[in-house]
Amino acid sequence: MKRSEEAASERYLTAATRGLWGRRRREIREELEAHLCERVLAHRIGGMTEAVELALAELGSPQEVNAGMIQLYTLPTVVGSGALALAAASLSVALLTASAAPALPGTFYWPSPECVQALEATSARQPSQCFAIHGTFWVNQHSLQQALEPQGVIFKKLFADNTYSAFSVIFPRAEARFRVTQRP
Amino acid sequence: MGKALLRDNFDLILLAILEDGPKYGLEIIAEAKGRTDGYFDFKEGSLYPALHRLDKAGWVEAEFAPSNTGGPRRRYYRLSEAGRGQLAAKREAWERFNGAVGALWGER
Repeated sequence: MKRSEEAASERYLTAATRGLWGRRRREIREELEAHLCERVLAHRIGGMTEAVELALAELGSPQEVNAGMIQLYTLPTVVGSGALALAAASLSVALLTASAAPALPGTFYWPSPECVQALEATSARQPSQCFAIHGTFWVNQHSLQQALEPQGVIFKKLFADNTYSAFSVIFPRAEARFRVTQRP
Repeated sequence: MGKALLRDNFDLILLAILEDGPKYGLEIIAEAKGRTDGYFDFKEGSLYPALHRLDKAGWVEAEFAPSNTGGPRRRYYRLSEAGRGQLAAKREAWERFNGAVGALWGER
């Protein structure tokens, strides 16, 4: 593998496992690395010269895997029948810091199916702005927080590094809709 | 398949693919695509978090094993007893739903 290909692979694996720790991080990295190697091998057998580039393109955005893993392994889960109302009203999100993500792209409502659809529609037009996956999405932290906190939504920072922060977001009531508009 | 329909039935689909033996991620993608003539074309971004979620729920058991291509170890997922129970329950629910929808169409 060429140095540039190694660097591209390393960037993918690092981004996909960012925010995970210890054995969990090592195992997920090893699993994704094996997946990447097998895709590369298949392309090389097929005679492709840009096998690594092609394999990485097939894997898609590392942030998508990362968001799913962060939600699964690092964000708290509300359990117990007594906490049902809270569970219905709370979501966990992983948010890019202001420097890494653009401002919110428009108006949508959240949490609601419309929100997910709006984010997905936006993502399809402008993939760099945000995307949604199973309730986890990547948006600009500050613009989201500024829009939702006045409406009673509580943001609890779980951890942060130079690239992103993870928050638990608690809504004041279940099935509420919160209007988020892009600030001028 | 619509995203919402796929999301709601992703567990059922993954458990069904694992029913006849342990498989690793790329193999699951290939099998889903091959057995459905390309209808299910899973992306890594959604597949791996879903597999890990099934593992965390105890519906599958995961373990690393050497690759026969000489590359890094693969992580194989095997259906657990709890997973078999979930598969049976989800399959029954799906068949009842499918039958009910079919009955509605049959009334025309």
